[in-house]
Amino acid sequence: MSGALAGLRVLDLTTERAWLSGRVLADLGAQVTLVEPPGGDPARLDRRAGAPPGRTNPAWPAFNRGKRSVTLDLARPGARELFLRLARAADVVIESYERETLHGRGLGHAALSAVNPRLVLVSVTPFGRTGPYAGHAAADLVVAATGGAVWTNGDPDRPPVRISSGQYFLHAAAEAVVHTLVAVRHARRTGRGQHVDVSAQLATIRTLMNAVPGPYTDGSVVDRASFGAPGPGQPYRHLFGCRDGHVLATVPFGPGPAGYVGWLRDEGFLPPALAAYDAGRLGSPALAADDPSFPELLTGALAGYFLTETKVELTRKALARRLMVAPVNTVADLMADEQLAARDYFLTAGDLRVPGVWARLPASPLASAGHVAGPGADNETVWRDEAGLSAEELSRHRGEGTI
Amino acid sequence: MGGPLDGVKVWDASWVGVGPLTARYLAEYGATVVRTESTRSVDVLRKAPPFKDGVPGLNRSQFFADYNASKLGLGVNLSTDGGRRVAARLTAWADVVIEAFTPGVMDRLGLGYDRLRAVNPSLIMLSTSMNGQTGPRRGFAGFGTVLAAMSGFCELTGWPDRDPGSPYGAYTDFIGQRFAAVAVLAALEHRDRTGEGQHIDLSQMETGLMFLAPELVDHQLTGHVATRDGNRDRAAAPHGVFPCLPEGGRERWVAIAVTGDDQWTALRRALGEPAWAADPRLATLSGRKEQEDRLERALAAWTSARTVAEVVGTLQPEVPAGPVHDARGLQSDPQVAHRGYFRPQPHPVMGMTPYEGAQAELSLTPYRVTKAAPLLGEDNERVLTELLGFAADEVAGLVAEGAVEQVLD
Repeated sequence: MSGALAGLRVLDLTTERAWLSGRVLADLGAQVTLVEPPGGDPARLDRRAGAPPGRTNPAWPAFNRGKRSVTLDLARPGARELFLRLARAADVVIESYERETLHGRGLGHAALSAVNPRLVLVSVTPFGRTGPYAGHAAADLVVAATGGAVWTNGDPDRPPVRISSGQYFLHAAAEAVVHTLVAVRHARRTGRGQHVDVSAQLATIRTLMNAVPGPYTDGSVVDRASFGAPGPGQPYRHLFGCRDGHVLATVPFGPGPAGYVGWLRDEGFLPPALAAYDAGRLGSPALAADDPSFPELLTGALAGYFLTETKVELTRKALARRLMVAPVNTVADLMADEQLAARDYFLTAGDLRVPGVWARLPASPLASAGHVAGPGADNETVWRDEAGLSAEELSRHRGEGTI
Repeated sequence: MGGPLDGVKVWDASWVGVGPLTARYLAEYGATVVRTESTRSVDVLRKAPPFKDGVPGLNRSQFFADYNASKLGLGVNLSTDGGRRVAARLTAWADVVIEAFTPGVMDRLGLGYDRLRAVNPSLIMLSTSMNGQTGPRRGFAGFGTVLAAMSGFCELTGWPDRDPGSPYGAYTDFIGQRFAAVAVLAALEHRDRTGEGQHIDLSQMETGLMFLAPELVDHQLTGHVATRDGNRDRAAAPHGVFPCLPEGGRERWVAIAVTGDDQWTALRRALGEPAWAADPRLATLSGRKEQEDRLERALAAWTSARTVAEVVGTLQPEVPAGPVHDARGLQSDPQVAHRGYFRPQPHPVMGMTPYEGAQAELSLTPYRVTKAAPLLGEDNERVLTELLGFAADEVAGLVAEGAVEQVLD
């Protein structure tokens, strides 16, 4: 068995914003080759405040495992011809330069398709390559904001917030793979490649669910609201403290209030006021509306009980009762999660464990090889065997600092 | 029609978010997608707002409609005898089946992969679920809102001095749908090459964790346990959301992210070299992180006296900055408009309504929203006769025995 994309050749020119795209293609069996500046992409290193010099950027092994690496300084004279040698033999080129770098170097889609008509060029950028914001500077926070994913989050008494870990270029990078595979299919059938131009702003809007159509359906606009507390249409609070953190419990789901009352009874935490409710009352769909004090009575009792248990135990016990309780997991919890372990989810990247087997395709499994290539590790193979440079030419380009 | 997926036939037997969105990608690149539904267990999105003009109705939710554009609608109760005959025809017809029930439900309906493959040996089936088809939590059922907590995103949203928050809605659905579409397209490639189908098992939690990969690796490299930090970022400062002058009686906010020392220099210049930014220690990230509280206050004082447009106009294109849009802001954003993201389609009940469109532009084979979402069972006649080959009297029989359903208002 081999990967679904075995034989597909991809040149990966991306910045950190879109490393994920090539990682996903490599997982599917494509041969993905990073093209880095000589000496290696500076983003291999952790540049956060306080990071010691030389420490690895954690995103590097996570998103660049399973790729080959060659070096090429695209800014040097002669580099364009060298890159076109690679492009002749490639199916896909992916880039995520902030400005029109490839086009400016004479390597836009027209130039690439002149040497290889079936080549698919993929651009992953904040706003797309066309339009009034195409030249704007951006960052995850700015993409999140302009895509509507900040306005809806956070407490009303403070500014709205993003997710505290970069997300929205990852949405764009994953989205890019969908459209790349469509373009690859078209190229395979017709011999004609094309330009795939992905906008992270639009990929962000797609995450907003029913908050998007309000203005053109019922006139509504979703504003941020404190998370976990009861609110309109949501009589039960759903965020609770527990022994080692927090859990979310959604009372109106599955067996509903009766299920929770039974659970409290079995655990010895059922207060007399709740014990007075019979099955008929607990099963009534109008319970919270008819008896406005009930939600606080139930969730108050749950809050007391939950404080005595861990996230893992509460999740297990609720699952056995078909109740929807989920842990508010930290990254440490996730690395130890029993479901992920049972499914052998994590892959390796050197001696690190990285996510992961994102889908099970039994006839064409994701690649398990977890090699993380050093800068230019594949220069000899690629430049000599595949691009056809002689030993002398390779040596000269190295001496000039181009490779 | 016409598109790279021309000729691909998809039975969308799923519901809610990930499954329908995955099928929609396929529809808009040319696949023929039949979405099956039943009035016995209506897709919860048909009952979820926002409704056209605020009036509830099975065919009035744009939440549902948006995820099901460009598909044909077949109303069928699969637990009836007639429904099983329709399912057998759909199975033989389809290249791809998409389902999103709690693991085990399809088997109980007699529609597990092994049964379907007996009818159609090269069938591709996507099963998308919260936690996957195997393992101790395979039976975990629920909505994406709780999966955001289980997958680490609630811990990472909000303020360090407060309880966890959450990204809006079923956040992980919008990671899952992308990987699900990739998996189906990859399986089609594999099938084109080998003739072999397969049953894809996709856990939405497992796709969600791909977006926390850097944090999971950082934990192993440094021991750090990532948590929520408002809008701050360990690799950038200042980095926040700042108040602007209210407009139309609504608060307004602007996002500003200084992600490099050169951008700090550009920010100072754009602001006219204010005294509060003159300290030479601010030239480095670590210097700015040390004085981040003070910088945020000074920047907020500057933004508070200006409109969002003035702030963004002053800072771009050198300093990353942009409006914090609400849903109306998305409708009036010139970039969103330029990209043609919202695409109106006529709907028999809701009238002309915008549909969310392409997040990517393809220069040769653009993504096409071909029609509004189907009413429940809107295309019964066409699907049963033209696509599945039932004779007219057989269709009448299916209707008479209640196997086929339709709600047209």
